[in-house]
Amino acid sequence: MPSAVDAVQLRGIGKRFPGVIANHDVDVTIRSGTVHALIGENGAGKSTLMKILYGVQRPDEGTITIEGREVVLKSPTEAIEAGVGMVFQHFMLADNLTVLENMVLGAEKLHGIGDGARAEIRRISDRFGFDLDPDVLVEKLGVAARQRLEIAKVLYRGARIIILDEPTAVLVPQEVDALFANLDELKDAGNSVLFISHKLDEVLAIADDITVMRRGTTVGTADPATATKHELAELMVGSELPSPETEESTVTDTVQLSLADVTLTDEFGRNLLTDLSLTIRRGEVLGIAGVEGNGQSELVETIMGMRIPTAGRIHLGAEDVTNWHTRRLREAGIGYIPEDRHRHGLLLDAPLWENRILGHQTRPPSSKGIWINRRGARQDTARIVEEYDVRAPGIDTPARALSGGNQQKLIVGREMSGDPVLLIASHPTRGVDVGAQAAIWDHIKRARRAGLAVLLISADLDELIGLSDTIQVILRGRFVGTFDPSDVTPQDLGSAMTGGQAA
Amino acid sequence: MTSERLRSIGLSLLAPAIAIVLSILVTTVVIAAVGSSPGDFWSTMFEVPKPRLRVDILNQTAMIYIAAVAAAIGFRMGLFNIGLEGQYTIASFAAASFAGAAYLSGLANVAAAIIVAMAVGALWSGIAGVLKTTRGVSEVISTIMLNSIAITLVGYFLNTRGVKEGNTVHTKNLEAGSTLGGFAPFEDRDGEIWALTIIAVLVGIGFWVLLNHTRFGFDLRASGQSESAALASGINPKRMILISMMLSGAVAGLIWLPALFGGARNYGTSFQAGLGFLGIAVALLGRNRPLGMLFGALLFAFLSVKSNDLTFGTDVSPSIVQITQGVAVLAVVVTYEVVRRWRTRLEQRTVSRELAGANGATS
Amino acid sequence: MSAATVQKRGIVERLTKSWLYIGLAGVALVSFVRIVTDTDDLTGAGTIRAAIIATCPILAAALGGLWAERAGVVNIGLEGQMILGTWGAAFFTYHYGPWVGIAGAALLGLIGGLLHAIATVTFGVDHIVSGVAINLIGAGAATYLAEAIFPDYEGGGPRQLNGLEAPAQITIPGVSDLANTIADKHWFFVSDVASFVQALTTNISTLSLFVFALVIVSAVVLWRTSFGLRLRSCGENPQSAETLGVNVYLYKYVAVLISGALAGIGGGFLALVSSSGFSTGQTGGRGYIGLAAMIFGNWRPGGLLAGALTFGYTDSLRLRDTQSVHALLLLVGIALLAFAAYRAYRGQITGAAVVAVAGAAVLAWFLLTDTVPREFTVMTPYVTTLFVLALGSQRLRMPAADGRPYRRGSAG
Repeated sequence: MPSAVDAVQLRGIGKRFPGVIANHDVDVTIRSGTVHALIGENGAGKSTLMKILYGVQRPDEGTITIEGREVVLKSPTEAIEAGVGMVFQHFMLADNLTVLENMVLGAEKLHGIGDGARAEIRRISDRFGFDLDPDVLVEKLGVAARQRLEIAKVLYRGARIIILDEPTAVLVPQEVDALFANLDELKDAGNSVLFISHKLDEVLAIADDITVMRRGTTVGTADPATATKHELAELMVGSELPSPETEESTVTDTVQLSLADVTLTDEFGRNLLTDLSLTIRRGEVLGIAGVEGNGQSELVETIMGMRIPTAGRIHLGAEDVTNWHTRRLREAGIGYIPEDRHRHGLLLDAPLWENRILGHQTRPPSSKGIWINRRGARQDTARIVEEYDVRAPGIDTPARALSGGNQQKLIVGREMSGDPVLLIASHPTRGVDVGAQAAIWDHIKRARRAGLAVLLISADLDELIGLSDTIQVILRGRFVGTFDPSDVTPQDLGSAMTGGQAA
Repeated sequence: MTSERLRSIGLSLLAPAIAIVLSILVTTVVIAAVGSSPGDFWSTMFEVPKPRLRVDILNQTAMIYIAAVAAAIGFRMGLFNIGLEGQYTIASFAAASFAGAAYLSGLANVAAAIIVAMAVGALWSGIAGVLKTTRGVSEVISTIMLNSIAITLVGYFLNTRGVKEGNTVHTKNLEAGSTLGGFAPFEDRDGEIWALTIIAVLVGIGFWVLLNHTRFGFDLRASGQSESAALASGINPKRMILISMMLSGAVAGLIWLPALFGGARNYGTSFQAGLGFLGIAVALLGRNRPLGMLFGALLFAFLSVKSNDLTFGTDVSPSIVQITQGVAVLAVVVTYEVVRRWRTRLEQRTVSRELAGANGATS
Repeated sequence: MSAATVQKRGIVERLTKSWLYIGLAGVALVSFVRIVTDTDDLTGAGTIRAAIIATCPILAAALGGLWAERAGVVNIGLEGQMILGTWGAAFFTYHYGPWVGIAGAALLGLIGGLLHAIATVTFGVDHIVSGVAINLIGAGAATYLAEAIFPDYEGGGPRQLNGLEAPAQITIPGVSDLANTIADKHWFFVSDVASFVQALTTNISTLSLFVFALVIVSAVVLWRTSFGLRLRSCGENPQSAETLGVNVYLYKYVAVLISGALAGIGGGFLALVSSSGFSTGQTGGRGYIGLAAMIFGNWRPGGLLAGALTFGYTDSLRLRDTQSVHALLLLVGIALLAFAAYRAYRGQITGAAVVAVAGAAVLAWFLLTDTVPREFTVMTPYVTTLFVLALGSQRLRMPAADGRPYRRGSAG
């Protein structure tokens, strides 16, 4: 039930960080009592904008008007007072504290920290069907329950405007449905929701209004009743969608990697991966599709030797490598583009040429015997910077100073060097700009033509369909379907990924 | 490139410079606050040391430097070996006992004792390494506990096995053939630079080569910078923890050997405690860099030795330099952190200026 | 709503009860060992008095550790802050009497805490690094200030200041005498409890009572007030606390300042109650033992009290006759075997085996020797802590963000 006064008006918001302009000329209007979706690619400036609206960061320019009153938000406390609450993508919960303690923290004055608070939590929980027990430790809660707790936390503080940052990224489909039901309840109770996402299906399903961001600014709005996914996607990337074009098959008969009934269990005996079998031939790209958290990371870590499978065998070429550790596998020619380049791919404070050595410590040109070959490593780094178009002032620049796309190009260049036989690429274009994305796709295609076997994991279904020769869908640690990219649609994949059907 | 290089060097010297100024200020204020004369203090401290003190300073520098390198091996790996104190105490005792027993003679005895010291130091720090790799016990806590255990244990063995002489107990004296003495640069009465201070030189060079020119050194630094990236690059983190912990302990075992074979000749009242903590302080002061630590060790040795002059001529007690040393360490870590934050911002700005327009927005 | 509340109380009750049972079993075991080995000194009122005196400084330091670490700051500088406290107590007691002296000890410790807070909270320096530096500064400052000031004082010298007035002692007349009578009977269990009561009611220092009261105050403030909740949230997840409007820097500062003050009070206790004066180096690593007691107690007030009492008790025994220490071996052996049985019952066979072997070894040591060298009692706290860490590391739960640097604006 939209009322005359808008819940939030953002006008001309701008925010600069050292070296980057995160937001400029951002205009967003959230009507009262609606779900407003804010969409855009990773790095489009959505997160910065939300942090500004929640008082975590202060804008350099522009105005924020909440329910008709212009406000200056210097801290989250002031945002809360103004009626704005936020649910972060990475939950802001203390595992070692109870639901009650997490809930009342910072809002102790409202209902105390004892039975008064307990009663209020139960009231909210019952009203919106959150099913929360105040005295349970948060570490005992599952992901969906934690998210409900986060939303309840916001409501407990009397927020009328609720920001949700990519709330569905961690949820399975049923949980997404339950969340959307909760959002409808919130709307009915007169709250406004700012829903941040890059998943267009979900946005079209839940939003009343859509605002699109690109390169730090708002580039348009859309009406979910009439807009199509394609139109939204083009707004997001700003041009014709660069979609990787499938090329002629280069698949050979030589099997490069094979997994036979690989099972991995965690310390509590639960299966993370169950009976996975796959083969990748030379010149073949095998794509793995799945909702995040369904075993993709574990699969990669198992193949890379960071985890040793509980059962099953892994062969690289003719060799049984099941019990090999990472270094030996890398020496045998596995290249690895990790999912989280900051944590697993780079030494952020080390210069580029030292990052060139990382993962290649035992191989030329980085080393000779037990010695590091500084000259060789430096020369080869210069080559990578040149060939892979890494934009950096020099090879002595620390990796931290590079943009995400350039960091990723350096990693791709590094992992392609030394003639790998198998490349494991985990979300290779996540969080990089469009130019770098196209370049990385080209490099993967070129390598495939040259006979490289590639395991590609991606959340971007178009990328998977465009690059892969075969697509396997993973769900809860099992393969649930094999697809031929030439005649599969993202919808088919989506439905298999969520357990809708197995092909 | 060269101007960038120069600026980078300038920036890394900035932090220690600020720290030294700060510690001079604090020291002056403290001296003035208790009613003594800072002027007397500084003029005494800055007098050129007498030859005997110069020799002392060099000997102390060597021992502190070895300790600093031992600490730095851990630091570069991201490990905090607070246990140097215990490691070198127990290793010195073991080496003195072994050498005193004279199973071998002459230089062979010395060489064997050096090996004993390194082995004992490595084993003692290895306990902390094993606890960390197998049971996840923080090395900070375990090495603190091991310090106290080592010192008590040595006291026990000394009391039960040592040679009693009046009120004091010590290990058996070295035979004349195993006492190396040293080299007297001035007159004989001014003392000798101990022969085994050469260990400090070797340890320093070894540390530099290991760190910057070997695969092991690269793995060590990579593990210290990012454990997750090190793991993904094929480094076995547990093995690295154990090896670097033991290596640190082995080097710690060498700390007091120059004194043992130079002048002390036994482990007893002449044992100099506290070098382990000084080593940690100097490693922090010198940012774990071979050359930086050398200056740090020299500075600390100078302050400690030269402060003896204070008892003559001033009413300032020599322990004032402990404050100077402590403040210097705290100030250097604080200023380094500030400079680092500033520098990161500077670097990001430089890159984005050079690549203007190349990168878009980021969150 | 009532169901969950009842259930929660149930848990609390069960826990308190199980602690009570363990405590009672412990006393019974000590009593048993006392009678078997005929060492009445083991629980004599004198021993327990000494144990309480030895416990208090460790306890104060452990509480200091608790406050800092619950707010996410590791405070290795406890030792240095404690040393500053010894000097502060001496200086202020000399001029203004013992209670101002304690306030002075707290003040000096607090200054040490302030340094630590500035370095770690404002500048994001590694907590351990800062702690080491503060220990150097604390030791240096106390030594220098003593040398510069105390020689001019009556009873003073460059390394000590003697003859300081101690805080008053109190005796509860009726209870004290009754307990004394019962304790002298040397009955199983009853007399042991009686001598404990006797020690607590006869000539006990008001400062000891104050330190014990601080445990209760800390527990209530940290776990029963919104201030405490906010402080603990900074140690569990400061980013989350920040997004909820908690001023994380402020709470960390307050916690570290209190931590330093508590360590300072521990130092003051050493100078005024444990001995009758200041001397250089008199902390003897008790700041570290306090840290160990806190870890032993799993970052909880009740637990660290148990840890401090254990370490204080062994610390006091080393000053008494070696026979009681030897008797203690029997105690430790039986306790270890009991723990092994418990572990085996819980199905942790490997752990049980390790503990059982250790227990058997201690028993053998008891049977094969007549005395224990003093050094081995000195080592007890350290060895115990290593054991607890090695065997119980999965059960220990330190605050989740303990020791991690935190910067404002890093949320999200």
